[in-house]
Amino acid sequence: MISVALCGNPNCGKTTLFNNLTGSKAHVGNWPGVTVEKKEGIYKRKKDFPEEISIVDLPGIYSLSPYTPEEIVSRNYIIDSRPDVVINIVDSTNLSRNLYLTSQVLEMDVPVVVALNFMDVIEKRGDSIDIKALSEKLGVPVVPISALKSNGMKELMKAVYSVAKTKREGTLLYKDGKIDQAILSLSSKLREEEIASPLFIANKLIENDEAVLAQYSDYEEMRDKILDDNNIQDRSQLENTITDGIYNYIDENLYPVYHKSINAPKRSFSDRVDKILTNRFLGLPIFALVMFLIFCLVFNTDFLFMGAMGLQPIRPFFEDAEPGMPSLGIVLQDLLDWLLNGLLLDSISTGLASINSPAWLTSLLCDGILASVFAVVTFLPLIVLLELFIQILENSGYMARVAFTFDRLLRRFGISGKCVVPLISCFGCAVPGIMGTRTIDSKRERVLTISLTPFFACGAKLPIFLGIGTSIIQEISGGVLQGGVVAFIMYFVGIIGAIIAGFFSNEFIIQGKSSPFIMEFPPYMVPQAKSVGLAMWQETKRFLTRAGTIIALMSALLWFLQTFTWSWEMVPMIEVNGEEVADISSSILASIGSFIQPVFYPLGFAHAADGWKYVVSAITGLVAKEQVVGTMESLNILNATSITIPAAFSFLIFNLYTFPCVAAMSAAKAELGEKRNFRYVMIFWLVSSYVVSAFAYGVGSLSLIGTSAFGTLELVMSIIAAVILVSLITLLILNYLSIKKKNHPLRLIKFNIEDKDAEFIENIYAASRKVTKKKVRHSCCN
Amino acid sequence: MLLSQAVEHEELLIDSVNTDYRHKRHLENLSILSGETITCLYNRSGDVVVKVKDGRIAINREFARLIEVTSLNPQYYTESVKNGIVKRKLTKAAKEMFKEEDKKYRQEEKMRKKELKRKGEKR
Repeated sequence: MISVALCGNPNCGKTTLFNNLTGSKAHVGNWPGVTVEKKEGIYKRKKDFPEEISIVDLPGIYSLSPYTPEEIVSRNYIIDSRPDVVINIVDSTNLSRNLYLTSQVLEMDVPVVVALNFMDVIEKRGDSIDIKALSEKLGVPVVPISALKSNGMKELMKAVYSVAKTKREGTLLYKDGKIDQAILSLSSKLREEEIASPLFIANKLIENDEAVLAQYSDYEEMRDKILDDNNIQDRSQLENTITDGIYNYIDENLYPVYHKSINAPKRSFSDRVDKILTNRFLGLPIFALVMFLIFCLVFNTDFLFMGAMGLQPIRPFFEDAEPGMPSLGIVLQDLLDWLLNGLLLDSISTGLASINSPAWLTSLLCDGILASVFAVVTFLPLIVLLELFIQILENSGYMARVAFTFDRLLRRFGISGKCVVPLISCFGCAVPGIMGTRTIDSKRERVLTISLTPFFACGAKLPIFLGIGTSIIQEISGGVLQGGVVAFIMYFVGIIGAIIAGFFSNEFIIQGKSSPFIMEFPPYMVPQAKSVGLAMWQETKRFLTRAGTIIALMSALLWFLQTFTWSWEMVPMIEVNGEEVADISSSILASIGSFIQPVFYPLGFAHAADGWKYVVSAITGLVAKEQVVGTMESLNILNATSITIPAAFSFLIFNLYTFPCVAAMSAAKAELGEKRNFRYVMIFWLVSSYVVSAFAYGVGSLSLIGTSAFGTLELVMSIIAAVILVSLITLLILNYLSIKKKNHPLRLIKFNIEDKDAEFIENIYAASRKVTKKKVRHSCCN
Repeated sequence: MLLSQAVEHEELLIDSVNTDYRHKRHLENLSILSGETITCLYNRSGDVVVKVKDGRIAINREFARLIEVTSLNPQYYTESVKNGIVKRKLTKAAKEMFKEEDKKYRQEEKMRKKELKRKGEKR
């Protein structure tokens, strides 16, 4: 078996190439000891070559010096695991910078094939690259490919196979006369000592690289002796000289292979667009508009509010045509609803009746499992559509500009712009969002970001919003508050809540300065249909597997708990409105639910006689957020009978802010590392959901004044809400005064996150403040 | 001059990068080291977006203040003092020059695209 490693800069198309070569049947795991993703796969065209070729996708790196976990993982893999071939993927549109990594890879003792990606973009521009010349100068095969269009894959693998069995010694691209001689002689001595990739190690030793010195400290004397022999005096600046030298070599000898058709423009299309998108005044509103459009397209029951304006297109598949045209997502959902709940469920129940199956079996299958599973599955089109738009946003490269635009604003909340990107992916599913917080260096910011993830409602919470919105709130309000509008309000509440909670955490609990960032803006790309389609398909698979397994099992369990009493008998049937309905109030579930019910009294949705049903629904949300709607359906509370609007909103808020599903919680635990931080985040989620729900119910019950629903509980909650508001305001005032007098903010709860970055961040701020004090005050330095 | 004082379209030569070792290496890997020329694309009260060898990199205010640069085309920029704060701006002539360059580039792009279409049709 031939092992191949894919190595290259971030955003150079490694993942696309990997998916092309392995047919996206990759095994994704983690490198041992580090939370960096490891992707392994096998070349899909097994018949082309006599041996199997396994491909490992190394993480995107800019150089092989071992500082970030990604660099360490890649370097160790190449040196220790010794793959047979390393494919270095180079972004041809940014040749100089990518060749810097190539120069380092070439120093290693491993056969290398250079793959020039993005050749389609080069052709479009009318430029060309002299492949032969480049190959001669680098000394390794160079293959032009376009991972997006799947061009050049066969040639690439042919080159890989031809090189796989050969041996290659590292070559140095730096020619200066003195220093390279020193490096070469040190390398030959290290080779005698049988050190792997001696040229690379020799280069780093002479550069005085701290990490390599720590590992190979025995050879320090040898290095000093060789430097003396070659009369090299200025040793402190060697690293700079060598790096400069490599870049100069690349610019003079390698870059000229790139022939441009016209003179390089000062500002390309991407730059002009960037100017508008990151504009001080336009950047945020544009982003808000984009998000609004996405939500409109996905789940607005009144697309672009046309119904409210008086236009009356007809809604297909229904008898009661409501005003306004629904968006694509709603149309698909209604179609699926008709198919599953209408056709399929009816046919199954009549089929079961015709073969005289026992009543409990029909009840279990139709009312228990299928009803709730179908209730959840109808939301599949919405979730997939949402994922589609989020993938488009991410793949086009817009997210980096968003991070930059938001950075200034987020300084107030103690997080940097980099934290926005994972939070936006949370709108699709929280798990990749939480895993995306790996890019954040500062531990403190990572904890803050993860604690804010449930506020950005994940795709699974959409069924809760829409289900309760259309079935309950829309009914009670007589069509005033449409389901789509409710969902929109909830997303908005989530974001506002995130802002307030983030501010609160930063000022009073976890204090510290946000870390400065350096980020690359990838050029704008039209997202490839293949990769977006793949993401949507994976989301569909994940959703349907969940529906088929966890939700079905939970529904069966719940059916059992609600149909049987403690004495293992089925619950008695009673007459309700002339129909025979099972009296759930004597079941096991009812007793468990009623036991827990008092805890949730302040939140408003638990004090009615069947309030325990809402409690149980909320708790089942821990397993999977989609389950909440399923449980509500099987407990028969998805209608406007037993709850008021404020209580419904309070229930929605509780489900929004509380613990995410088990999958997200385990991802958070993995990312946070320390148990202490995880405990903090869990307590934060619990407290914030409880307090905000209670507050919302208190405020909402003011709207019930004068109706019969306004009882003692509502009065108490309104008073408590007022108390909470007043105490928040006093806290803010005290904080402001404390900053003025003692020059540091008030500390409510002492929670320190040990962060070795904190000190260094303080130093950077101090250094930059010193600099501005020296020079004249410029308009930017405030 | 500090990088955070750069103005749009300005070409800069980097003198020194005074951050700590870790970020100095990070910037080097992105080819921002002393002796290189970069172009400032956008400056938002200290946060800069910089064009380095066909790549675009966003650098925060705090880091930008620690990078010293010299301007390679100071003739395009004027300094004006307002309330004790110095502001650097493009001169009007320079603005017009850049606009014309943009126009020229767009025209050339159109011509080239037409030619490519013609070639495609011939085949």
